[in-house]
Amino acid sequence: MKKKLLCIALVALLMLGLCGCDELIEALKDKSTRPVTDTGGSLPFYTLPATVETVEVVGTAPPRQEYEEDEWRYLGLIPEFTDKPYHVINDNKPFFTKEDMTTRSYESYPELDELGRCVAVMSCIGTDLMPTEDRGEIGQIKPTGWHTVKYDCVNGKYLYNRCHLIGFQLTGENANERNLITGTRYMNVDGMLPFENMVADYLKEERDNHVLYRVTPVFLGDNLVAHGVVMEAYSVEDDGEGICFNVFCYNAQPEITIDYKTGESWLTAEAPAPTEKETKPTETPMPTGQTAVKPEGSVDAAVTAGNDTSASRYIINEGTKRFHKPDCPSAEDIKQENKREFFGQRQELTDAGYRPCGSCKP
Amino acid sequence: MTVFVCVDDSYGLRFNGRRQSKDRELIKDVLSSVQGTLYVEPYSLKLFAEGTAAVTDTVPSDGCFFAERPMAEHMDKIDKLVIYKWNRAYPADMYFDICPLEQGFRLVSKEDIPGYSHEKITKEVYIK
Repeated sequence: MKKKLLCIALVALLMLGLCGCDELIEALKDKSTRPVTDTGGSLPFYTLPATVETVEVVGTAPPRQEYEEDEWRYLGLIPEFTDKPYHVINDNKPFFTKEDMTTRSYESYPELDELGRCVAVMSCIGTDLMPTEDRGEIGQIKPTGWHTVKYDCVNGKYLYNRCHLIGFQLTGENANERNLITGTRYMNVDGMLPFENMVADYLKEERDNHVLYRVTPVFLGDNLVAHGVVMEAYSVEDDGEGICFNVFCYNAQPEITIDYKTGESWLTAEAPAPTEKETKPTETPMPTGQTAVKPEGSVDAAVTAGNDTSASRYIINEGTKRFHKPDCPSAEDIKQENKREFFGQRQELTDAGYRPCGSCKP
Repeated sequence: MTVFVCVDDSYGLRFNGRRQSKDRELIKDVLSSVQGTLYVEPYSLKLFAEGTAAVTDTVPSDGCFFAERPMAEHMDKIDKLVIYKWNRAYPADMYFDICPLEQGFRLVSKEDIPGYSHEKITKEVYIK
């Protein structure tokens, strides 16, 4: 019964969106105060993946953040976390409907659910919503599942950030509890931030334009920590020519396993019992006698960068024989005569005797 | 041929078939740096005012080319490389695939230019 009540947001939205581009464009023409560009290049916006054709659509609700784990698996849309911070959904086509399209700026942060968790937040972002002042304090907010816990393997040490669903640089929301979830550093910086940057810089360049933007935290069952967030964005005035994406960002952290029910965590290599040295939970100590069984609702985030077979760019320090991510601050300090760029697989570097930077952990 | 290219922190070029970013001041700088004809692919044409760039479907052998694609397979045609760095992390699924210092180029100049929508764009010029 519960399952039936739990509308699968992705599916519902996909089904909802079973309209053609022509309708979308017409809607834009109706609502837009600016000229609509040629429709020739418009994307086939609403495509129902074959994997969910048989799923019953039980409602027309806005996106939900709550899923049953078997539904999650059944959807087959989002594989388990491996080595990429995000996974493209629906061929990057957002689930917005024609009714969502507008060129009027707004932002919506619905009430927290009965467990105190954030739900989907949405905005039509224009430059009028973007912040003009620096971000303020947000430490007073304690999102569900929050733990102040540090690991040496996390850039910046702290596993969890108070993670804005709609980034501060987009709508200037500061300590809004309806817009902050417990998110890993990895999701915040490697997953969500690049997409936020892309949208923010698009709007700074196209100052009269708007980007329809929705972030949906995905909680399984009664978990207090989201498995990730669905980020959707679409630039309205140019029919998505500038911005168009639909991705799931994993709320995971390499080398660390998270119990999404509670937010507790431990080094994957040392599971089940963390050492005093490596884990320093300051609020909720790890329970003793933790078994090696992966807790229900947890995702094994054990895959380290060492398993990455995709090509990437690295900065090599021939003096120290270390390699860095291109944006690593340490890479900036490498003497020019020792500095070398490399594009290829990480394994090639380690095979050649180079060691990863301990700070940026490439 | 001189190649102009814009990349993010990971040398990304595009995501989902779209350029990661653009900046009108950067385009001005490209045009002020061009010697001879500037060739662009059809996708890039909108960035340039009418009459400032010539459209091409193929990578030219000489002149200047504003590249929004990987260029390693055309390495033998390139004698100068102008890389604009956004100094930002964006998502990417297409990357620029030339490591200039690794592949026979040397850095001859590096400067920061203010953008319109980007606080600081770093311009690096490499020659073979």
